[in-house]
This record gives sequence, C-alpha cells and structure tokens, in this order.
Amino acid sequence: MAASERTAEHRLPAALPDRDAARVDAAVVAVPALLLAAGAAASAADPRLGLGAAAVILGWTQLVGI
Amino acid sequence: MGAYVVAGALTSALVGAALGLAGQLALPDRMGPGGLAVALAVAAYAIARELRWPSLPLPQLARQTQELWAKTRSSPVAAALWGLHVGLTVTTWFTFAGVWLLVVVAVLFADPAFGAAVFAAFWAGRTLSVWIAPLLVADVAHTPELLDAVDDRRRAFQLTHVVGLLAAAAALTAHVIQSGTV
Repeated sequence: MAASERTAEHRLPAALPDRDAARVDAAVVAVPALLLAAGAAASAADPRLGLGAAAVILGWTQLVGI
Repeated sequence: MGAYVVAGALTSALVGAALGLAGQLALPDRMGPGGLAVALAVAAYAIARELRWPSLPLPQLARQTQELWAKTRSSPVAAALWGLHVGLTVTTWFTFAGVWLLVVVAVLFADPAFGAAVFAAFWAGRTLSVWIAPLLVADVAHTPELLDAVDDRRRAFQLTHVVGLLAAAAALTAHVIQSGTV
C-alpha cells in the first residue's frame, strides 16, 4: 500500500454502528412527525399552540452544523 | 447539561419577551391581517431559501459561542454560560432561516408572554437532542460520529425545517382567522 493510500485510509472518519445509524434515521422522521401531530391536535384548541409546536420543530433542525 | 438547558431557556424567554414588548410599544395593533401578510412573506422567503435558493442572504452574526469558557471555568459554569449565550438565539450562528420568522412573530403578536413562550419552545427544540442523543447511540463515545451522521442528513433536516415553517404559517393563518380580524 502506498503511503498516500495509507494516509487516506487513516483519515476516513469513523462510521456510526449500523444499529445507531438506523436509530438516527428513525429519529429524523419520528421526532418532527410526533411534534407535527401534537401541534395539529393542539391547534384545534388554540392555533398558538400549533405555532409553539412548529417553533420546537424549527429548533430541533438547528442540530445540524453544531 | 441541565445548567445549559436551564440557562438557555432563561435567555431565550427573555429575548422573546423583549421582542414582544418592542411590538407592544411600537405597533398600534396586535397580530392582524397586515401582520399576517408580513409573517407569511418572511416564511415564504425562508422556505425559498431552504428549498431552492441557498444564496439568498440570511442576516446573522455567524459566530460560535466562546470555547474559551471550557478552559477557564468549571464544567457547570461553562455549560451555563454557553446556555445563556446560545439561548440569546440571534447572537450566535444558526443554520436555517426560520429563526427570523419567530423574531417577526414575537414582535407582531405584541405580547411579551407569548414572545417568551415562542422562544422557549424554539429552545426546547434546540435542546431536544440533549435528551434524545443518549437513545440513539449505544456508546456515548460515539457522540462525534453521531454529530457527523446528523450532518450527513443535513438535507433531511433542511426539509424538516421547511415543514416547520409551513406548520407555523398554517397556525398563524388559523389564529388570525379565528381571532376574527380577517
């Protein structure tokens, strides 16, 4: 193996175990879906509660790039 | 992490309340059809930016919180300071454009309590990962890989942000219709 190849291999980022990666995929869908459902239900009583649920979703997405 | 969450909730609520108070002092009326039009325009801009035109300007200070605090303070104090700082919301980097809709909404509702609630809700979402992350990785040593995995799913989060903006726009419209000002 050439030195440059060894260096490139060494720099590969460690991957998340498959089971953990599957959990992340599930959370990416499930968390906003639950918040959206809760917000829709709460909006029936008071739309401002739906706005609050939307604000939680907007905050959740700020997880990217931290 | 408790210090971080509590401290950030405090400053987030204060910022929201201050924006609501500013609206109360500056605007003749609470959220009505004119305010709704402004809020929907901001939502549309944010959606356009996240869906199609990422080069649209996103006004922000674009800076991180102070890493130095981790070196110069004890862990709980540093966490609390980070919470206080990040909780200010608009004084540090944010990834997507929807924050500005919440700023506009807090002003237009002209209600400090409601502004505080909206910003506290945003902070709750922002810190949701603190509670959820331990459920996602079996070994806490994989936290850096978890953050990489989140970044790999950036587009999914961006689309979720758009869904959040649409939900906010729908709730705002419903509120104005229900309040009978239309």
